[in-house]
Amino acid sequence: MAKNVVNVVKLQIPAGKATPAPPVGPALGQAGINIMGFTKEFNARTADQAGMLIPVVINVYEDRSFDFITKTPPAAVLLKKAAGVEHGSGEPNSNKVATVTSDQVRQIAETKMQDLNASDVESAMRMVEGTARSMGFTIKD
Amino acid sequence: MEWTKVTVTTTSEAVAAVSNILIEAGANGVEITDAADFKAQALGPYGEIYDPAKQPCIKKGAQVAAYYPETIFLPEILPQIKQRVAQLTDFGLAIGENKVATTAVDSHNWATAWKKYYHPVRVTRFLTVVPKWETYQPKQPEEKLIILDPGMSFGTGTHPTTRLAMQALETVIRGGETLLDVGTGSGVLSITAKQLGADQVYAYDLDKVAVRAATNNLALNPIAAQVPVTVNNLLAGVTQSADVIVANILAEIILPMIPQAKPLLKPKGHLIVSGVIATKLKQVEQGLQQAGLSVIQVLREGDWCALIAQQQED
Repeated sequence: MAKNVVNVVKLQIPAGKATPAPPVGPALGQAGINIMGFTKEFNARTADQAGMLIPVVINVYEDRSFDFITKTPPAAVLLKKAAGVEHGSGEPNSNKVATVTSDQVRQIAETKMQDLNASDVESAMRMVEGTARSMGFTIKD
Repeated sequence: MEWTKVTVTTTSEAVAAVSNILIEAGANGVEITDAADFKAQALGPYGEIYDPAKQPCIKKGAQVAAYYPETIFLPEILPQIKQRVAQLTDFGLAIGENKVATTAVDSHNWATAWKKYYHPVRVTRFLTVVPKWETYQPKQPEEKLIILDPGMSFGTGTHPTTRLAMQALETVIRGGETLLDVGTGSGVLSITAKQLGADQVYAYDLDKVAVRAATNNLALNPIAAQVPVTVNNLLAGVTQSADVIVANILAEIILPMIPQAKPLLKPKGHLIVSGVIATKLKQVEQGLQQAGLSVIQVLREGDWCALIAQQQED
């Protein structure tokens, strides 16, 4: 039977390592979810991706039961992986730290398309490109 | 620990970039609220019913929030965050309102908010978990109550892994046993064991917060008030032999515990492991068999499994 969703909580947190500390505790506590129940579920299901930042969307129902789906890693994480760097630049205008190709940008945009609020691949690409540049990445053809 | 929440009000298209800025400034994750998520979602992909009017959602734009502990010096990172977010327009991203707000986090509020939705849970015919702040009349004479205030520790009876472990305890306990409860959390399984007739129960947890919660909960249940709770890493250094060892943790942590548990089990003794997600069942089964224990029962609820394994005769 369909249940009434009373809240949707969207987080990006490290796989396999959720704890009641922020952001999990405040976000879920306010939504009325049993925090430890969520961390146990999330850690069990993401243990194999440990070290990766994972977006998770949690549906909260009227009785405060919940379910969640995990998504592909955030665009910034995929960009760092594609460029082979750990961090972006703190001064992205003056200090360029990595290069990605427009093919890589397109690939990431296509991967993230279903998770982003973008109307088409082109606008998804614009988001990914903007994110890449904001991290001090150069995009080459 | 004091925390400060930093909320950036921006646009949908800048969410990925803003999230990255907040995380690179030292946050351990972010919380995202995007008005676009609530649009045109009257029915979710699995038939869930969304009613945006009833949800605490924002009407336009997006907010990305991160939490920083007092160990991070906010006056230093906040101007950097503001500057980097403002710069996003240079990279072709619209930033909308671009408001950066900070609020102090009231940890008491979020840690306890869920309690008002926590009610008595009838786990089995004989076992009911009752929150300490509720009055509950047993429905049957043989029903045993486990009174709990779980606080920030795990084990409320609402999660399948706790329920499976309680069912397994009901299956193996006959009365008079010595039992070790590894990773006790709220103490729910120690109290269950005492209610089912176990004689000596010893509870362990690595987390000091859990040890405090368990001690308080045991005190709420006179039958279990004498159970000792010790800070301990799994069964390291434990020499107490037992008829039953129970652990509701996670597969990754259960696996290294199996070789510690095996020599402590008396002949025909039982090891109950819960918190095993279905995809890890085989691995845990193999771990138990390799240690020389026989898996005699697997209990399931949804994606979760609990296993009952038994020591051989000698």
